[in-house]
Amino acid sequence: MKNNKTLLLALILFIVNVFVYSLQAQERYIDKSGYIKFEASEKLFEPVEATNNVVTAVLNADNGEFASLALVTGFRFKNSLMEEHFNENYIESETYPKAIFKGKLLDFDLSNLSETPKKFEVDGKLELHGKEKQVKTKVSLHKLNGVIVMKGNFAVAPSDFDIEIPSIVKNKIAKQVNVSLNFNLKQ
Amino acid sequence: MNKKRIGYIVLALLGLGLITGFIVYKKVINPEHREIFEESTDFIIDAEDLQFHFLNDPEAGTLKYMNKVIETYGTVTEVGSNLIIIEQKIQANFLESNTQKVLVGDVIRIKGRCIGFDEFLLLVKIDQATTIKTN
Repeated sequence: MKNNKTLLLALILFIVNVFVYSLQAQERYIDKSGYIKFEASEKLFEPVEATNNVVTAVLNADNGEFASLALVTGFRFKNSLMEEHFNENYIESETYPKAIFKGKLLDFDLSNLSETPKKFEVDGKLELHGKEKQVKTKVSLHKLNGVIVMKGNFAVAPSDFDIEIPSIVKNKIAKQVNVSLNFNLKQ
Repeated sequence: MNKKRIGYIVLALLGLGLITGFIVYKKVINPEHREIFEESTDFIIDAEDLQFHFLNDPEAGTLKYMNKVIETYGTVTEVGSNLIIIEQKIQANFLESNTQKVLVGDVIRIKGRCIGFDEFLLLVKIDQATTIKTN
């Protein structure tokens, strides 16, 4: 009798667990190959820009929590030498392989999304090169065929992340780095 | 005769200078990107082992595999527009979108460059991948 009760309890717990899990799973929107581009070009000099289309982005549609992870080695430059310098001398990708953003879309409500882009404020922290910095920006969101499309851009400074730019190239690299993003988040 | 000879030498030197300049530009100032497919493979390892190394010790995994040419294999569990997931452990992004022929359940072998470990999804990410074999 007692054994039966435990079994029943275990079964109920299991069902509740599965239910809760599926609920959580339903509200997570993920992009496994999101796109990020950064640009730090100065006029008259060779463009300093790179793209990464292997970025992970996760949105919790329940509460608007948002996180993104870019493996910095995945940034591709037109000039391979620039890419090498970026990895070895500036971002030091062997020591700091990831750039992580964790934050929240303010006043996010999934049911408010439509095919027309809507702006949301994002507040969070960007961790890069072993340093953390608060980032506040606006992103536009729209929903198309069940996919949440997120687009936006923001600016950061290399000095915020203790990334030193040697004086020889100082005038070839902009003080502000513009980062743009494009994620297609799917359930 | 002598003038002609000097002319030839000058011309040859100029040509040599141009070629050297071109080689320096191509190799030093603006070298080509790596062609991962053409490079020799650094590690041949199955999907489960590769992920395990990163799960077990992300830093050691990064030091060992990052930026290295990897050949890995396993069953395809997800297919995207330019990516595949192998056994929910490896994500391989292709340079060109050629995943139409790959189906979930296929056993695949790919070659690409490891760019690190995604701790959100617990996936080892590989870019510039090419398919070696599907069956």
